[in-house]
Amino acid sequence: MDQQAIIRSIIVSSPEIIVILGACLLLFVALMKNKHQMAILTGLSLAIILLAATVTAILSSAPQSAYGGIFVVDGFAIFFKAVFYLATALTLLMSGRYVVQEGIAEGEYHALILFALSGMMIMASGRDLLVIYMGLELQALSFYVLAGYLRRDPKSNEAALKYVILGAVSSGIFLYGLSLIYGLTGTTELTGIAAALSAGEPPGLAFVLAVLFLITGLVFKVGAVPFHMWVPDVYEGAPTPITAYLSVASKAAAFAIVLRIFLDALAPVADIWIDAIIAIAVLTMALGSFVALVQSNIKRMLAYSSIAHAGFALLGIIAGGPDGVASVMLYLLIYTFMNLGIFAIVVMMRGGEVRGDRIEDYTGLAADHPLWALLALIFLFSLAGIPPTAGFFAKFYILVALVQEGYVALAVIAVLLSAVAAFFYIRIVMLMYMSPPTRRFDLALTPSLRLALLVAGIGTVGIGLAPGWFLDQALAAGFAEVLALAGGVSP
Amino acid sequence: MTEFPLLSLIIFLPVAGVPLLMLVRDDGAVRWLTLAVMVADFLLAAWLLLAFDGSSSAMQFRESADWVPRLGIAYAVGVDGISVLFVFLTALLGWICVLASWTAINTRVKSFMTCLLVMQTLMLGVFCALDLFLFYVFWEAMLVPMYVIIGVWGGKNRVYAAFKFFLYTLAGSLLFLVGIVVLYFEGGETFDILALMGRDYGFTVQAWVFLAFLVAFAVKVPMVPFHTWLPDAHVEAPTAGSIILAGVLLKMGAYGFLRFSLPMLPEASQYFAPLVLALSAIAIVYGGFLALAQDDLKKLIAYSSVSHMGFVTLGLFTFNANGLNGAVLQMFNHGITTGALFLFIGLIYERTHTRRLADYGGLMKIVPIYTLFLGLFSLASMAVPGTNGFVGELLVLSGAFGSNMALGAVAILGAMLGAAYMLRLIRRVALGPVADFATPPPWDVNGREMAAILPLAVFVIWLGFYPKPFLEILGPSLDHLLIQVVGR
Amino acid sequence: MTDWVHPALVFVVGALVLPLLKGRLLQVWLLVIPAAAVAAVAAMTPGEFGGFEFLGVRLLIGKVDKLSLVFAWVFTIMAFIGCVYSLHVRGPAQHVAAFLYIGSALGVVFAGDWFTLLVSWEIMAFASAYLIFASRQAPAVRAGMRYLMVHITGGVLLFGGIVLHGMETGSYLFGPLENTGGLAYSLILISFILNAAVPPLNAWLTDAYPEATVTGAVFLSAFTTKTAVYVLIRAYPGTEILIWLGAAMALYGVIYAVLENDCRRLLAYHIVSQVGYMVVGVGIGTEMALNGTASHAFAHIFYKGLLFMGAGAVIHMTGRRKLTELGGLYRTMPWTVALYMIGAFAISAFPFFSGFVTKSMVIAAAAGDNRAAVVLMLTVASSGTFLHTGLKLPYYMFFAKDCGLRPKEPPINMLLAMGVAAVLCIGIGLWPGVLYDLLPYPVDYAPYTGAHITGSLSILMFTALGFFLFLRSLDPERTISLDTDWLYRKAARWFMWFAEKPVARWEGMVSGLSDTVIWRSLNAAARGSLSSDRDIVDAFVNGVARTALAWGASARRMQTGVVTHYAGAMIGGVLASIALYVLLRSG
Repeated sequence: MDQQAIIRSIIVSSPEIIVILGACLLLFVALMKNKHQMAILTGLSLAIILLAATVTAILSSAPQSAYGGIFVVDGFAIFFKAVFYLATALTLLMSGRYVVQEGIAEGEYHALILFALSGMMIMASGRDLLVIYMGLELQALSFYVLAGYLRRDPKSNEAALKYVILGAVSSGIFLYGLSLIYGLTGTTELTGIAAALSAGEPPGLAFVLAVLFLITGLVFKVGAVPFHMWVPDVYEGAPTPITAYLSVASKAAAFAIVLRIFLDALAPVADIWIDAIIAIAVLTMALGSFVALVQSNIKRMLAYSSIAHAGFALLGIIAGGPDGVASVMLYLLIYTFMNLGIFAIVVMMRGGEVRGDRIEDYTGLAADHPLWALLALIFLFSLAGIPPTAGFFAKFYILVALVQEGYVALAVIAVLLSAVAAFFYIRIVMLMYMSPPTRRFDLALTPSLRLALLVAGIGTVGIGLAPGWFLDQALAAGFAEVLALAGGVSP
Repeated sequence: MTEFPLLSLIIFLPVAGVPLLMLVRDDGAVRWLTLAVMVADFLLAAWLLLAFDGSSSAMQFRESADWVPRLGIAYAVGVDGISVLFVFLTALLGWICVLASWTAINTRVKSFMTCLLVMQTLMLGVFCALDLFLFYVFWEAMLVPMYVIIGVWGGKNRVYAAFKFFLYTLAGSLLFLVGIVVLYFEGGETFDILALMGRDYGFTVQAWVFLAFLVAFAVKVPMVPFHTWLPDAHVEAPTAGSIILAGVLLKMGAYGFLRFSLPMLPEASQYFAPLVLALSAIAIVYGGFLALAQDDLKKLIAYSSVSHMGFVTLGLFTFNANGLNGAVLQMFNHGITTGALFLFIGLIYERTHTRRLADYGGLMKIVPIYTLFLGLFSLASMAVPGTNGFVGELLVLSGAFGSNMALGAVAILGAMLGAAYMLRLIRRVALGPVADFATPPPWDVNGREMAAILPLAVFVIWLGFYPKPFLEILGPSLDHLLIQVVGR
Repeated sequence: MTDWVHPALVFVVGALVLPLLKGRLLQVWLLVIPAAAVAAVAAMTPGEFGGFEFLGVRLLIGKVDKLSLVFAWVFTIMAFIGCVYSLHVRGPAQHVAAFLYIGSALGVVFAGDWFTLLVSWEIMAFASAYLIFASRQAPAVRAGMRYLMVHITGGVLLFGGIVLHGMETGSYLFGPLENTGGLAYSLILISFILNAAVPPLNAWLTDAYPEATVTGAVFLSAFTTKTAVYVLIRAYPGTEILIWLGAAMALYGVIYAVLENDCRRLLAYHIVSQVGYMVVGVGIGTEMALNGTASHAFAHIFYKGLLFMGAGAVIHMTGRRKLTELGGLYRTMPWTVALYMIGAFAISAFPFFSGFVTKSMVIAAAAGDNRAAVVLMLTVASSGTFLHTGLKLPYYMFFAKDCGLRPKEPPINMLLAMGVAAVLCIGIGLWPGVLYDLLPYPVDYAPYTGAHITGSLSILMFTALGFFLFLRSLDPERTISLDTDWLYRKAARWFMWFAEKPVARWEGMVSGLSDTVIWRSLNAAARGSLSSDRDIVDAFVNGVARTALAWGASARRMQTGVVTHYAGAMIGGVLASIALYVLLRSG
């Protein structure tokens, strides 16, 4: 690999580099204590993200690859990076006062978030199973730490521990599948694997095992049944902003690699994994929807809701094809807005002595704070998939993709389950609107939190009213990915 | 779209009033502002009705603009003879709702009026939409404000009612959504309603899609056995909510049949017609009996709606001119009459704070004017000759006989029941010895309430004696529809 | 004239032989003669028979065309039914009278010239009068006398008219009268409408029929007025005034019936009302209208006969005639009730009963002639008919409060006769074509159209509803006095009814409403559906919701919180997905 190839590679991967260096920088800044530290750190990390985003934007002119094709910057990667930037920024915005209240305002917080971001960016760009795995672990490790960040809170510690152990199990499974693949195809590069498969004779049982191991390793990150068990506990235990971040960004990242691997490398052997995915998707939607009905803790409830949503997004993968891919991507973008929005509300409720994560805590919010209640209502109805919010369009587009591929029965199951799911969302609306307030609310409203809520709100409504542009973006990116199936981006 | 976008104006004027509401502070101003917006909207709708060319069956005042081109989704609106009537009805009931909740609603007035305005826009949108996706968005979005209206300003058991209403209708319309998507692919990847009408679908597709639609519409109408959300919703909802529910929401199911099931899925419609007819017949009688058994004024009217809407669906699926004309006219009538009846229950409830029949009696003595109009609307609901109800019901009945004797007989029994339970209501409420009320009489209707009552009364009489203009507006569109259904 | 047997002759012969017979033989004879007459009619072919010169005047005893045949059919069949009904009557006298009465009626029907007509006309009057005398009570005798006087007067007028007419035209052949407004024209018309009981010349009918013997009334109800209708059709088709007289009649009979207490007088008033329809038909005079008239007469004879037989049966068994003294008989006379109700439905023109297919024809003809007012009057009248014969009379006679009487069913022959009539009522209603074929003019009229059925049914239903609402205010008058002061008496009553607190009235009505069978059953049904709605339909809905929650709760338990369980689940998931592949794809 010659001089200027390396330079080019560095340029292409510069956003990741920026983020990582920025994270290190934050560590140093965190050492110098002063009373504005929170603000400084937040501002700094936002600046870093902005910088990375601009660079990404500059790179987005044409798809290009680096490090001999194992790392690409194509529309697909860029779309997901955009989602990650957005999610990270919003998370940082909503973290501000929360971390202070919880007394966890140390520097590593921001640094870890940025490390997680970089890991996810690498996942999105990786075209080689090893690179992907590296990114995966990088973000996973950061998240392990973040999940347990409330040192004094046993729940948080337990969450971290569970996450670590189960994450390790899943990584193990994934690695095992990976090595099998390598053994069978002699490459870990997705295009290579794809080529080997489309050329090769019908795969043997060993190969089936390999594929299924890969899948199961990945759907763990997505939080699909029966690999979802960690989700509720971790979501409940982790600091709320981290829960939000986890539920959105890491899920998106997981989906990114799922899309890449399944629809790129493993597309030729779809019939190995399609049944498993169908079963998993249905189970996931069903369990998520039903169990969420009986939750009393809003973070747990949102955990199950995110499980249900993961199931719904998996349908897009089942559908496959340009629309399938695009539908999943759009779904994740929209989910980012609405889910971060509702989590921002949860953070907002963390005021005074009230933890604000019990569903009863929302009783009568609308009477005192109509505006915030209205926002919450918008997010909740969007999650429930009621038009004209974005959540509806996300679901709708996935249904379109499904029916197009002829999975009408699946579509019916999906909508019925989302009718069940609607119940627990509007239950919160009911509490907010239809019961008199039982207490005085002192909301943890900071300017940054307001900003986060505003952005999320605008996104949720805006995409709902004008989905066209975003849809086209997702399609373009998705097309890029699907085109890649043919030969892949020239290394 | 060089011409003036009258429809869009009518549709979005109410919601455009919401920001204005945010500006004003005190409740009085909020009420007046809302009223002004609604009345303005109504005047526009009246203008629309006058400007409408009743001689053609084509969609008029069409506007369309791309929305999501990739999926062939467009913002397309327009009205034909059928929808223009309902646009008018909705606009009319709009400001009547405001008047009805003038004093009835005194908590969180601003939020309430906001809900009303949003609701208004969505309902108007449903009747105007020419794009299936757009239609669904309006149709589904309605659940939210209605849910809030019932749940926040409703009665004791409002939460249960709100939940039931929401989930029930949601479950129905989600199947509708799948049906839409299937139709989208079968019809060549477009959501343009007119284009979809043009297509010819295979029978199996039609059958499945029809069933999916049937569930959605049957819940909205509501047809037995999908009706149980209605009484709860009606009883718990505030007056304005009940008026909207009875006056407009219930029509949407039937409107769905008219717009989609019949013209797009003619074979399936004919294949399943016996089923729908049977359900309608059951609804007519069953609803009648249920109404007869009620001791709660609102419940009584609510169940009577089930019976009356039975007549509508009955007329729709007879597939003959009489039946269709009668059905659509009956939809309009039911909007006027039942809306008025709920208004009246609301008025008296404001004064007595009870809805139990047993608590009433002798209103004729203490509130003669009120009783007079109550009687008028009850007669209309009984379909006594000379009121709007009679015209519609007679048309439906003759349509029913045209298709099947037994049906007609059942329907007539239903008409009898209708008379029976309305007379029962009148007797218990208006006659008999004067009951002792919490707030001492006299308190007859005041000017504001009269303003809400009179227009409805006018329509009752007008339609009763001279329905011709309305039927003329309907005529061409319904003939066109008939050709679409049976003409193939 | 051997090729043709005048059915009248059959009856005359029968009447001559009757006195010689007794017991079983008499009864056989009573059945044979009408049967023979029916046969004679059946064998008849259109044409002119038995014409001869008399005093230089051409007479024609038998003029047979479709019109006369219709009436001949119904008369003879009715004669048969009537004879069956009166089989139990001992002694020949009544039967002789009945035979002569029928015979003379048939004479009128086939009369081809005015003299034959006149003669039959007079015989008819006397013969029928005897049926009234025969019941032998003082009021009956007086009523009979009045009846006779009226008819003799009518006969005289007719005679005068005929002579005048003969002198004007020089012909005595029976046919339409041309020179309208001439004296002859008026005289004959008066005598005819007298027999048709057109108000105000109707007193004789409502006065006499109720007094006649049980069996006699049945014959009376059938023949006199119908022969009048027949001759009107012949002589005065399309006479404007008849339309209004008829419409008035139709209403008049109904309004009068409001006051009635005597069951047979009530029915008598409905004869007036029904004949009103026919007179209207004659007045309109279009082919359809005349068809309507003829067919309505045809149907009317059977159902009115049936009604009279029903009422007669009750009188025969109880000896009472006043509605106020009757009631609750349905317990012991179910058959009578059932058969009577068939007649009631028929006269009320319920779909699938004879009245429907004929009455509607007249109304349709009026409508076709653009006479909205007439249509309206007739419609109202028919609702009134149902109100009284269909609801009020049976309600008070058979249901309502129990009068304590426990009469047995009438003799079998009565029931049989009623049965035959009932069958005819329904048969005509179901297969109107048969009757339509008999009619003088070709029929292109379909009674069973949707709009038509709807219209009539909804009217009838609202009538019924109104009846059960206003039950109390319909209580029969205790009085039987029937002067023309009814108007202000009744008006005053109604006025009072509105003036005096309506509240109390409503209460009365609704208590009446609720103590009727119908209302109770309605309530039962209502309560039933309510509970089914609550316990089945709604329960199902809530059940679904509850199940969903239950599932959630149970699934929640899987979340043990123990890490090893989680890991186990994951491993299980891996194995499951492998198993899934092995099951579905491999092999």
